[in-house]
Amino acid sequence: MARTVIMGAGIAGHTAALHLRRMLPKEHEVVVVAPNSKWNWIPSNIWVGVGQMDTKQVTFPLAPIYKRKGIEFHQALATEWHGDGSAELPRPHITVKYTSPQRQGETAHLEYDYLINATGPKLNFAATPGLGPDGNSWSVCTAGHAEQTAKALAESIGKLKQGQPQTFLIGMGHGTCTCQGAAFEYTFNVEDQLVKEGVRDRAEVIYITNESSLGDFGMDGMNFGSKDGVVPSQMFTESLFAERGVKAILAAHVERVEPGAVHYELLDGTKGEQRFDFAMLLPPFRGVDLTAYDAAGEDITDQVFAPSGFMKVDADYSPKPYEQWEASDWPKTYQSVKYDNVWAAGIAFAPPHQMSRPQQSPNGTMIAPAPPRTGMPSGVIGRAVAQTIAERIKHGSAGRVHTASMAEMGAACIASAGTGWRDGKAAAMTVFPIIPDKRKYGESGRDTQETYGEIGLSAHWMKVMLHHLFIYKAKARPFWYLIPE
Amino acid sequence: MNDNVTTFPDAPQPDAKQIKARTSVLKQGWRFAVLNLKMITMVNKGHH
Ligand SMILES: Cc1cc2nc3c(=O)[nH]c(=O)nc-3n(C[C@H](O)[C@H](O)[C@H](O)COP(=O)(O)OP(=O)(O)OC[C@H]3O[C@@H](n4cnc5c(N)ncnc54)[C@H](O)[C@@H]3O)c2cc1C
Repeated sequence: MARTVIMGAGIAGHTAALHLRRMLPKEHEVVVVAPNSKWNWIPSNIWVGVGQMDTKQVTFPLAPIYKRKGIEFHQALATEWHGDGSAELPRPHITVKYTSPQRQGETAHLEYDYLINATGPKLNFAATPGLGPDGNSWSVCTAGHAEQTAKALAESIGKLKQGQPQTFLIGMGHGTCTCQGAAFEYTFNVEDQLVKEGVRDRAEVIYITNESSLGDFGMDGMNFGSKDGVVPSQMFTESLFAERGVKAILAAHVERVEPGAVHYELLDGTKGEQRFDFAMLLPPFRGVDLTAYDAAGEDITDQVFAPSGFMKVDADYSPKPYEQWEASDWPKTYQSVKYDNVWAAGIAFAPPHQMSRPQQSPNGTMIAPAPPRTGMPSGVIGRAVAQTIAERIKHGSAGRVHTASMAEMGAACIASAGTGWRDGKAAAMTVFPIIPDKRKYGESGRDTQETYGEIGLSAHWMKVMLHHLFIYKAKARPFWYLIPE
Repeated sequence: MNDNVTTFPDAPQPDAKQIKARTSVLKQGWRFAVLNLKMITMVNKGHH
């Protein structure tokens, strides 16, 4: 009998748990630990944030699904990781603190044979004073945040209707943020909402970003293949902004957010202030607060986690200049650098380096996007890690090790505004591979057949379809496993 | 308006035909099928 504990029930952890349960006979235990009682299809939070959907449409309770599937669920936060066991409990285990109303604050130790860290990002609002819903800006990172944001947006729209001009500032709340695709999508949803409400002419919509040019998306941009030749993502994105009259502040590090104003520094070192009536600014990500100990109780967090708090896995972390970064630096198996029975899946693993060129202002402020950490790779990695563990449990060291390098998989970002069948507007962008591979694909590093941008209703239908498909899959309804990650 | 706020006056703009094509159910139905096929190919390439 083997016991696998999965920390996190997001895209990566939940995918891993369902696949592992499906692949393993019942005598093996699959245990999930997550502080949230509900699963959230995060990409659709964008629609919640403009009031087009409510939180019930993007979340569902995890406990009934896990009960039906025979997965043990602890609604708790993992706080400590004892990979070599401890004096009181010699087997490897994690320490958890319960968050459910029934057991709030209780702690417990959960032993494991195999461990998956799928804890995703810590939303690091604290990196920028005044950032976030507890400060002076809104967020759409969780369904709850998005619900609050929709109310604030409705208030601003109400003021526009009374004739008061409003400035909407949307984007990145720090110089090292990732997830530009989400902010870009939210910008277009807000713009679309303003048009629908008949108040667009009195509103200023400004996108603030740490990208040095539009269309960078934390990936150093892309070259889209099209029947008319190659279209750089910068041109594609600028065209969308110009068409909708959305303006931008580029290469900016938001230093602080005050009520009604952000203060920022640009890559050339100049400082500026932008006033706003409504601001939705994403936080930078870091790894969650998890402390690792050896058997003697010594803190070994820095051996197993990178300074960013993400877990070190089979990547090449040796520091080297941008020109020498290789696709092969990126991890394939996601196994911990220290323990061969522990893996990180989804956002929880530490990337070896950025994809956008690292840049600093003359004052030494880092202003460059962190690598994008999107849903498709998170699910694919979750499944690959589950497959590796199932093989190991069934066949021991002869079991096949599954790989899921981001240099060998693609990603899609669909920015879609509106939820109706005929009135939706969308831009879809796909990239293959995510990590550019210049050896394989030449200077652009990407396959231009598989890297493309598409604007129109078809992309919107795709987004709506993915919303329903992924929620169906996450609910583990019949034949869920046939839906790819 | 703040000096650091950029507009994109030189960015290419779609013509009337392109804008119409974006909402044509017939054309978009075809693009939807193509998009699905492309996505499936991409997803299959990434699964090992
Ligand atoms: C607004 C928004 C829109 C997005 N849109 C898209 C999109 O259109 N397409 C796309 O591909 N990607 C999109 N993304 C990115 C996508 O949501 C992430 O890539 C994906 O959620 C990452 O999955 P994950 O499992 O690694 O992390 P998460 O989904 O964040 O899950 C992490 C899990 O770990 C749990 N956890 C945290 N700390 C602990 C702890 N200490 N112990 C136990 N559990 C813990 C959390 O509660 C959660 O259950 C978007 C992101 C945002 C914020």
